[in-house]
This record gives sequence, structure tokens and C-alpha cells, in this order.
Amino acid sequence: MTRSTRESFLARLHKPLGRPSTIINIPDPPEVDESIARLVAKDADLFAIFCDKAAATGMTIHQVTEQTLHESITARLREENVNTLSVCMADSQAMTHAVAQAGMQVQDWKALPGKAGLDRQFELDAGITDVHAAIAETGSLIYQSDAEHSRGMSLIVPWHIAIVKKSQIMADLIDFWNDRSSLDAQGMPASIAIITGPSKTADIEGVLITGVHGPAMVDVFVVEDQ
Amino acid sequence: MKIDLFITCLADSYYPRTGIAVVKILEHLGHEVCFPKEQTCCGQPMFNTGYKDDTRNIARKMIDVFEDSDIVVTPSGSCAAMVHENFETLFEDDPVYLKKAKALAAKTHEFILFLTDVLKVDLKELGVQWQGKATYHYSCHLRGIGIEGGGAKIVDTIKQVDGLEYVQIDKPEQCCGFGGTFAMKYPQISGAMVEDKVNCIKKTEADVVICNDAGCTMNISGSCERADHPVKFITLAEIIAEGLGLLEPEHV
Amino acid sequence: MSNPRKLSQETETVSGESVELTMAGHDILFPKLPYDMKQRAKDATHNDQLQEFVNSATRMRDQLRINHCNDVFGDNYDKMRELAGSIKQHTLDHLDYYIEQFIDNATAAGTVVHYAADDKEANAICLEIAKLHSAKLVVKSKSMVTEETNLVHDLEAVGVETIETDLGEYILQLDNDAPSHLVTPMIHKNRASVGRAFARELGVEYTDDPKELTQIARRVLRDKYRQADIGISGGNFMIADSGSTVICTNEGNGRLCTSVPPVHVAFIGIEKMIPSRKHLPVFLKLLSRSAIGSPITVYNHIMTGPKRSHEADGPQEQHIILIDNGRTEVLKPETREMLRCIRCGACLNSCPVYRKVGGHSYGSVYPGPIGAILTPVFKGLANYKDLPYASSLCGACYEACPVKINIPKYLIKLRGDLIGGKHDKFIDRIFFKMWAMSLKKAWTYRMAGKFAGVFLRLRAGKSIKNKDPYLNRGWVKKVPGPAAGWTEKRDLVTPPTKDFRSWWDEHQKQKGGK
Repeated sequence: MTRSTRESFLARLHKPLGRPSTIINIPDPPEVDESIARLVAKDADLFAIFCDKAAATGMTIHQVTEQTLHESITARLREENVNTLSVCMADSQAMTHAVAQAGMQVQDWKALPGKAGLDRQFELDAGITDVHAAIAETGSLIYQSDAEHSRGMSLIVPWHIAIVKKSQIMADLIDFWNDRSSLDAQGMPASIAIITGPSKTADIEGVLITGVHGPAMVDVFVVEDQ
Repeated sequence: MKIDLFITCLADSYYPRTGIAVVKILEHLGHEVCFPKEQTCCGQPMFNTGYKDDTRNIARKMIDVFEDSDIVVTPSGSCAAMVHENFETLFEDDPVYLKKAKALAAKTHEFILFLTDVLKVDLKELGVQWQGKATYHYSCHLRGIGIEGGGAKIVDTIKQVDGLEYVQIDKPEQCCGFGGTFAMKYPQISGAMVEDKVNCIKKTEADVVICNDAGCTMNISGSCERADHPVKFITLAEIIAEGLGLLEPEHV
Repeated sequence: MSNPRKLSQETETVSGESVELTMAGHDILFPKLPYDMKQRAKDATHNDQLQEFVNSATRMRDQLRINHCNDVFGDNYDKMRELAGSIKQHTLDHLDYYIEQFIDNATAAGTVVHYAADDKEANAICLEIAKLHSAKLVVKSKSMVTEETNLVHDLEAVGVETIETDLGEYILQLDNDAPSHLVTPMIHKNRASVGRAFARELGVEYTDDPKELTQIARRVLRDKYRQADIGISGGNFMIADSGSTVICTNEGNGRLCTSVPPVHVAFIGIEKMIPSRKHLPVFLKLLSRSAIGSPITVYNHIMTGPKRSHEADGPQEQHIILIDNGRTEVLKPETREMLRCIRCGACLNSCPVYRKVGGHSYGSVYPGPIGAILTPVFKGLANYKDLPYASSLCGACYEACPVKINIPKYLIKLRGDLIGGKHDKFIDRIFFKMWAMSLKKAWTYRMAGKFAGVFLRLRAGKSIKNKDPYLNRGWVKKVPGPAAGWTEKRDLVTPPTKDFRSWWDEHQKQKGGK
């Protein structure tokens, strides 16, 4: 079988488009008219809207200060009888220390890199992560992969505990993507996850069940940082 | 003002009382009604079945008949939608008739919307009084003239009738399964759809179904007849005319 | 209650014995051509699960969509759909440009881009990748285009165990059934059939509790993610200016399939392109709201290339297979708008026909209104002559569509194409020709009407009770000829003795007399 190439594949497109080759100077695509598409104004009470919308998705919201964060998280972990967990933050040290002090076993997810590391995350009770942004409009968390952030920690663990700083809350999805659109392909994080609630399904007779493949519980600790 | 009536083929032959009501109401409001007698049908049955060339000839005739009219009013939302949405698609290669088709669309109005939106009539202020427990069937093709989602706007108009007890029907936006030739070609599917509609009507316990499109009325009333469900079908125009004393209430 | 899968049972005689052949899931979507939908549609109208559950579930989702979208977009809902439609249309109008841009950017990010003219080529590419990695186990997330290519079958045929991980798709795979809805694939199945399939195929104790069933699936599938050599996904969007692929799921299986296995292969139809990241929010705002009336899918995964060197985990390789498989046929100007579709399923949920006949009646991968226009173009109009006609043209789909595809317009266009291609019945053609001719003059129109009236009133007999000449209609129980279908399900009303024109003449006389 002769295989399609870039050239032969594009030729298939050119035919119905009625041209022999790709036109380079094309008109600009339609602008995203914010008077239509924006659902939350930048100057709205983003904190309140985020907490509201996030809670509506089934995530549990805790409002804390920088002083009460560690204490609140460890109390919550004890409540759920957590034994083993990992911490995945730009700076994990303080949190790791606090959780370990509280008597829980903190696994260093970086100790086993790659697939082996991910594999071990299937055995954890919980994962604590920070986020790269949060969206008031939908109550979403934005989690990107990088050197300090394993893809599994907000996904494989049955319980995802996310820490959101109040200053990270953006008004609308539009704001997040405007912010990211200047990056080139290599500059883009390999994985951006927009997470909005615990894992859900309604496949069997429309009955809503949480926790089918992803985390069944998501706790969000919103930190007053201003 | 001088208003030309586009009666539609179904109202002409099957539901003439609707046309009578429309003429009487408009004359009651002080307007001059004309009926261009060369008119026949908008061609929707052919158009929807795919016979575009045949439709074009019929549309041309419609356009010619109403060319000199200032305002064209029709009691059918479906036929109004045909003129509004589809006529111009028939004349993409005929600039002369394309222009005329657009002109006809611009001056063609469905009767109830003409009353409320153009003449700014409020039925309560007009003094329409009518006794009965009624529900309303939303005809899908009102979508073609901008009335979406179950026809809440028409319901508001109905509620202006003094003495009328309005009952909301379940699934108001769901099609009754008429669809012209669809009802004949796919009786199993269309039959299941109209059965659903009849069940919704039964649930309202209304004695009267207000239905402004003759096609839907033929379908649903025929199904009620088959199911032995005694309910009367009437257009809002007839209710208004009765409610103003312009038409004798129907005696069976 | 009949199992929808048994709708398409066939019997075949093998060595004198009658053997029941249950059609494999795939055959439900790939019936013998030309396809006649009437039998499946008829069976569907007698199927309780369809008539009760599918009917109410689709309508409920449609109402959720309407309420939610009106709530958040208000008067801008229509403008929002217009905006999304215009972005898609622009992209399709310049699809060559954006595909090239996407290829360049994705390649720069480290993705290997492949080109598949059709289903066979797409699967062949995937099989090669599997062979290269000596893959034994593949986990895959929901993807309509892999249904088109019958990928699971081809992988399993060469000994690669391939597991659907979307709960609904997993159940369908276990029960050898096929999806019947774009978003809720097993909407036609009830919990008892799931319980039976799990007991039979997984050896677990029978339960029909959805929560327990979900937990069983979770346990089984979590092991599969860990062991899988390759994860396969579809793609909801491709972003040209960054070379990114976006998948939107609620369960998390899509993210697991694209994060845990060392190799990720995405099957994506070329029409899934959008120009820029700035456009993504428009679609994320509309997709889940249109599909199920929720603000956004739980997981939106935007992937740009494989794992970066500084990252701890993620797939080492990312392959994207760009798939045509009939799309360039649809890309012709006269049908291009159909490719705007973002597979939200809103048109299915809003469709009164889909609610009655279910997805399998459409006899193809894409059911419902969008399937009724796409399938005939993908697979040949002569093969799917029913689909354009099996619609009442009520327009609910157009009202629901987040990218404003004028589905009724295309149904009528396809009907016209069937007639142009002489695929209509001779008797229909003559009937409509005569009808159309009678409408050219008012007197022939009136004469034809009178003739029909007399004919019907004779058949109506005693049912005419009213004395008023404008109201004395009767009922016909049975008519012959092309209208026979009408009286199969309902009575046919007769005209009254006098038409409107008679009244008008009298009315004019009276006015003149005054």
C-alpha cells in the first residue's frame, strides 16, 4: 500500500477547497467577541464566584489562610484516615514536612521517575498539589505538567487535594487562554489539564456516579494570600 | 391599512373557518382585506420532498400574485416560514426573482404575530372573551419565523384572552410528527411521535387544543380521532373572532 | 423487552441446523448496503428501553441544555452559537492552511504526525506503531473516528488486547454491542443488561446497582492503565497555532489513556481544527453545555507533544493520525458546513425522531440528525436513501446546534440530490408533478381540491355530523395510494363542503349589498 504523505494528504484538501496549493495570506479568523463570550467580568468578586462554582461541581472547598493551611489539611487527612500520599508542589518542602509530622507516610514521587513513578501512584491514598491557575467562571483548577508536577497526582490518586492561592483565580477561561496564547509550541506545557470536579459518569441509566476513573474526591483549599 | 390575505391551500379547503376569522378580525380592526384569487399554494410540500424545480414554478406564481401587495398576512406559521426561509434559496441563479422573493418575505406576516407585533394588539384590551379550558400546540415551523422553544410568546398572547383557562402541555417544543410526506413515508416513526403528542394532550385534560397550523391539526386531530380522545381543535384566530362576537361559536 | 442488538439478528442454516447469529457490535453500525432503516425503526418503536428511558433521558438533557444556556448566555446564546459556527466555518474554508500550521507546530513540539486517507490506512499506521513497540495491551478512550475505522477489531486481530475505557464503551465492548449516541453511547441499554454482561464476562456476582457496577469497572480498568503499552485517544479539538490536541472527558479515562502509557496515539478527523488557543474557550463553553447542560467537562486535557525532557512522567512518544476517511468529500462547498460539528450530541437529544427510533436505526457510526446528513455524504447517498427523508424537518436540531449547522436545509438538499439522481419512486415523481401542475392556475388547483374532497367525503360516510358547510368535516379510516401510510396510524380529515373562496365570494356580495 502506498502511504499518504504530507503532500498527497494536502492535495486531497486542496481539491474540495478549489485551489492547487495552500494559500498563505488568509484573512484573520473571527475575533472572540468578549461582549458575547465572556461570562465573568475581570473585576467581579472572583473569590466568591470560584468558591460557588467549584462547590457546585462536587469539589469540597475550604477557605484558609497561609497560617492555617497546613493544620487544616492535616486535620482533613486524618478525618479520611489517609496513610500514604505524595506532595506535588512548586515548593513541596513545607507541606511534606507538615504532613509527615502529622504521622502520615509521604512518598517522594520523584524517587521513581517515569512510568514506574506513575505506577506507584495507583497505590496512594491521596495526592496534594498546588495549581497553576483557577477559573472563577467554571470553578476549574488548572494543572500543568512540568519538572515539579507529575501528571498522575491530580488524576491517578483517589483523592486530589488542591491548593489554590486567591491571587491565582482568573475570571474567565478567556483570560487563561489569552495568557497562554503567546507561547510557541515548545513553550507550551506538554500537558494542561482543566479540572472541574471529581471524576463523573452517568453512563448507566443516567445515574450520576462520582469516581469512575479519576479521583472520586477533590478538596480545594483556597488560601487568602493578599 | 390594505392587507392581502394568503389563505394557504390547507386552510382554504380544509379549515376555511380560520380564514373567515382572520378576515373578520382584520375588518373589525378597521383594515381593508383583499384576497387575490389567483393564489394557490406556497409549494412547501414539493420543496420539502426535494422537488426544487417544481417548487420554483409555484413560488414564482406566489411572488407574481402578491407582487403589488403592501402587506401579506397568512394564518399559517409554516407557510410564512416557507416564504421567509426558503423562497430565496430557489432563486440563487435568478437575480430578478431573488429580489422579488426577498421583497415578498419582507412583507409576509403570520397572522398572530402580525396582530401582536405589527398592529400592537393586546387581546385583553381588545376585549376578547372566550370560555374554555385550552392548551396550545406549538408548531415547529414557527422556528422559521423566529419563534423558538415551545412558543412561549404565543402562549403569552393566548393568556390575554379573558375567560380562557390555559393549561400548559408537556414537551411543548416536541414535534407532532407531521412533516408532510414524512407522515406517509414513515408511518411507524411519525405514528410514534403523534402518539406521544396525543398522550401529552390527554394529560392536560383540556377540552380544546389551540393549533394555528393546519398541517399539525390534521395530524394530531386525526390521531385523537383514532385514539377516541374527544378534544376540539381550533385556531387562535377563531377564538379571537368568537371572543369578539364576530363568529358564532362552533356547534357540533 | 427486546435487546436492541437483537434487532439485527440474522439466521443462517449451517449443515441443516438453524443457527442464530447475533450480529457483532460493529455490524450494527456497518449494515449491509444499501441500508433500509424501516425494520430497525419499527422494532425500536416497540422497544421499552428506547421508548421509556431514551425518550425521557434525551429530552431531559435537552431541557438542561436550554435552561443552562439561557441562564449563562441569556440573549447572547444565539450570538455565541453564531460565533462558534463562524470560527469553525473560517477554519474549514482555510483548512489546508491550518492543517499545515498544525503539522509544523505539532512536529516542533515533538509529535509525530501521520496522514491517513481512509480507515484502512489509519489502522495500518496504528498497527505499525503497536508492532514497533511490541504492544500487547492497548487502552483507549472514546473516539467516534475509531468506530469509523473499526480499530479495536483490527488491533485484536493481530493479537493486541484493546480495552475501551469509557464506562459506556467498555460495557458495549463486553456485551458485543455498539454505541447508539455520540455522548452517552449506551443510552439504549438498561442496568440489568450491564449486570448480566459483567457477571458473564468478568465472572463477578450479578448486581444491577450502577454504583457497584461502576466500581467493578474501575477496579478492572485501573490495572489495565498500569499495564498498557499504548494509550489511544480521539481528539475533540486540534489547535493550529500550537500544535495541541484537546480531549474532553468527564470520567478521567481520556486523561489516563493519554498520561500513563508510554506511547500515546491520537486518531483525529481533520475537521476538528480550530485556529488558535484564543478560540478554545468558545468551544469549551459550548461543548458540555450543549451536550449535557453542565458548564464544562470535568477533564479538558490539552496536550502539546510528548513528555518534555525535564518532566518526570508522561508519554515518551505522541503520534497524531490525521484522518480524512470521506471528510474531503464533505469539504466541498455545498456540504462544508456539516463539518463544523463538534459531536456534542445536542441535535440527537433534541430530535423527536431520534427519541423514537434510537441510534442504531440510523445504521451508521453517526446517528441522529447530524448522522442523517453526514452518513449519506460519507458512505454514498444511494446507500442511505431513508436517512434524508426520515425527518419531520421540525428544526429542533438547528435550534440546538452550538455551531449552527442548518441540518434541515441539508436534509432537503439531500432529498433534492436523490431526486436529481433519479432515486425517487416513479409514482412519487408523477404524483408531485401532477400536484405541482395543478397549482399553476387557481382553477386547476381548486378543481383538484374539490375532486379530492368529494373522494374523501364519500369514504368518510357517516362520520360527517356538523351541519355548518364550513365545518362539516368527516373522518376517513383508510385511504389507498401514496397516502395509505397516513391512515395506518391516524384518521384523515375530509374538507368541509364549502371552501374559503366560497365564503369570500358571499362575503363580497354581502358587503356590496350593504
